[in-house]
Amino acid sequence: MFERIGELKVDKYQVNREKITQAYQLMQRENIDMWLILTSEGSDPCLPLIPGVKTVGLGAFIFTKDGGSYAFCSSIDAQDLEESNLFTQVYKYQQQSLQEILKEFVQKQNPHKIALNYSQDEHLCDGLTVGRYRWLCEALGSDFVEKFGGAENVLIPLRSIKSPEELRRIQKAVDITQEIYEVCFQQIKKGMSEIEIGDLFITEMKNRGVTSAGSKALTPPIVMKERIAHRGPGEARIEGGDFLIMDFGVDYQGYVADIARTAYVLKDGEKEAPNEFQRVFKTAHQAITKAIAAIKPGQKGHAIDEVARQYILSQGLPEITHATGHQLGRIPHDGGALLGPKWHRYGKAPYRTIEAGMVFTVEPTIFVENGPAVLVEENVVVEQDGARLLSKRQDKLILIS
Amino acid sequence: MIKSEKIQQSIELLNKFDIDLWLMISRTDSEPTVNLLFGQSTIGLGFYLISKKGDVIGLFSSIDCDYMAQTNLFTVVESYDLSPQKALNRWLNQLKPPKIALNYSVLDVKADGLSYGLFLWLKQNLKQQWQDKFCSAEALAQNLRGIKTSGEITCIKNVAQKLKQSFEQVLPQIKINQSELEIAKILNQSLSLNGLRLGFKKEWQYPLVCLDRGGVNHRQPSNLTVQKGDILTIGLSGSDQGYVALFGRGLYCSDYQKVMPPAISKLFTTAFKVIQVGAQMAKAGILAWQVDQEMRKVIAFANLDQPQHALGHQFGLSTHEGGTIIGPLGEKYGNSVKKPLLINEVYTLQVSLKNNNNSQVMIQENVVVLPDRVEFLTSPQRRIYFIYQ
Repeated sequence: MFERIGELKVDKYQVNREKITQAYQLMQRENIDMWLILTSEGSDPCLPLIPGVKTVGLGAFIFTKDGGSYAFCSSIDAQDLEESNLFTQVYKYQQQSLQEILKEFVQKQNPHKIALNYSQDEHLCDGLTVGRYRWLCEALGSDFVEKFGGAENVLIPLRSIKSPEELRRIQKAVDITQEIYEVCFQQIKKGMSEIEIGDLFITEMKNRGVTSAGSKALTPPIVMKERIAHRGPGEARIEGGDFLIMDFGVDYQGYVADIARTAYVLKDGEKEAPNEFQRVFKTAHQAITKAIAAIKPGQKGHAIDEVARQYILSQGLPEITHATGHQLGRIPHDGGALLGPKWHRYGKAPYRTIEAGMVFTVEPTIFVENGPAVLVEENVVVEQDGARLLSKRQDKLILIS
Repeated sequence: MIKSEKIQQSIELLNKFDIDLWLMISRTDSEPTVNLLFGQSTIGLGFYLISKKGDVIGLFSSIDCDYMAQTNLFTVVESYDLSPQKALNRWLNQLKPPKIALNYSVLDVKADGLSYGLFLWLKQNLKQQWQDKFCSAEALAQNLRGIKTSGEITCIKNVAQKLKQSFEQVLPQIKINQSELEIAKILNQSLSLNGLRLGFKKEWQYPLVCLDRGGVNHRQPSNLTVQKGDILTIGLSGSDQGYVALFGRGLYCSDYQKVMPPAISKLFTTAFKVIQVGAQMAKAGILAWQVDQEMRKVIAFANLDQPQHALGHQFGLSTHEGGTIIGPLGEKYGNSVKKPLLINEVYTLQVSLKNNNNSQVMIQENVVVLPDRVEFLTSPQRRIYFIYQ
């Protein structure tokens, strides 16, 4: 249950315990009697968050409104679950099938509302697959199938509203990310390829014992001087007059940062970026300032997006082609409320309400066709009176010579 | 290269099973068969349509389009802009498939990639005429995952060899009084030096390093230290280019002077024999449960308890690949043990044996199925490794 990190003996399930307590409160608020997570091979994306352990074989986790937490697993999976001390009881199936012990347990509890992890809008709340859903219907019988509903209203806030320990880890991830940026910028020179620049980041992650936020492995960040997209670095080399965009974050103890920076590569004889490039940068910078100032608990995500979007349009520059910001936590795109426009592709996310404890990126990008491209991304946490920056802002264009 | 082979294989399977269209949907990296075929994940909702005529169509949000097009795996990549349902219905109208296979399966987790929320989305957004054509893609997905292409086999063999190499490099460094965790860290270094990443899921930081005193289970290594009389199990899984292999070895911790207790010796020799019999039995066409049954006869003959687990499973992109399982008949493994082994499937052959004193040994080997036999990917364990110091 405890592991040693340096001189400290820490509870490796601390975050999960905090989340389980939070889940009980949310279940009471939503009047959900039972939350059932059916999984095998660690299949549900909520597992690292809650309960924090997984099964290899078919297994189930159940939380009840009265504060009960139960695991159901094959005997070979039981040891880690028992030693985690996360559960009121761990039920092991060996000769008896999972179906039998699960049905017996649910019948005994007789819940009126059973929440399952499915959702059309939120992929992070949609861990239950069609086959497993059918298995569950068969296992529990029609009496209980009528009581099924989606767990969105528990799982979205559970993921979004960060606990103190989650916030500490995100801040640490942000700090390490920025430290790596600083070291890498001292080494980036004209003529280097995107791949060579990406390798600098890998070396610095390795030196600090961290991994990349998205892949959770030592993979390069987005580094691009052209072809704006979510893509890995290519062979292209940076030349005078190029922009250079990097989008990077590290994973620190399961929590991530997501920060982007834009640089300009000076031509021979140039001392600063051309005026138009500077104007685009200042517009993006000002859009970030305005968006951050607008973030308050109770606001809808689309309202914040509108502030940044309209400001950029008012400056005669192209509209942002995506959302102004997204939540981050265990992964760079952590679901829930989105600082995005009311576009069909974003579903309900921009209509969700911003609450204290949420962590967002703010990244109103400007891509001028055949012209400057600026992507600056900052990380903020929402507090009772507004947003507080977690990252140190990029206030001016970084110049590379 | 491997991805192109898999796409070609998927078209051949559609023709073999006479299914007109395979429709896969994913967002982020949620779909195991999409990962197997395309190896890329999308930020937004992505639709993958493979027809038996050879169309490979990708419908993505604008942010994912370029990235997916660069894979060169599609015949068409199209942005659905604001309305994914319009784009999907339009393509279905064009292709007019009499049968549409979706990735759902009650029994096989790797063939069950369609989430229930996305299934509801399909029900809500596709015309009824297309919903009436839905069928399970279980057989397609299982064959695609199970039957390895030549590129996949080469890759897996390479990983298996490197795992063996890592184990042999670490073996002389394992000492009495070292903890499970210390040994696991040395193994991680060795895997890394051999260019491998840990093949288990992300949450697992270490290989399996279990002293029998602490239980030989799916668990993380602890601070329990190696003592004389212990059996140490090392279970390695490494990955390269996304493909994994597995490697399980049993070691005995002893004094030079002492003769190995017969009860321990029996565990090891029985385990070796179980694997040997499994390898002799297994070949293309034999039913999986028949291999398991013959292996269990060895255990019964030795008067040891039967393991609760199956004695072999498939692997490839992950350590447990679903599909056919070399396990006993019964409710637990259902139909997955009633299928024949197929040429170019790769399996573990594994056994975990325990005696009345709670001594426990686990051995795991990898084989590829050939028409008339199986081939070990690395030489199997035939002797007991001792730790003396």
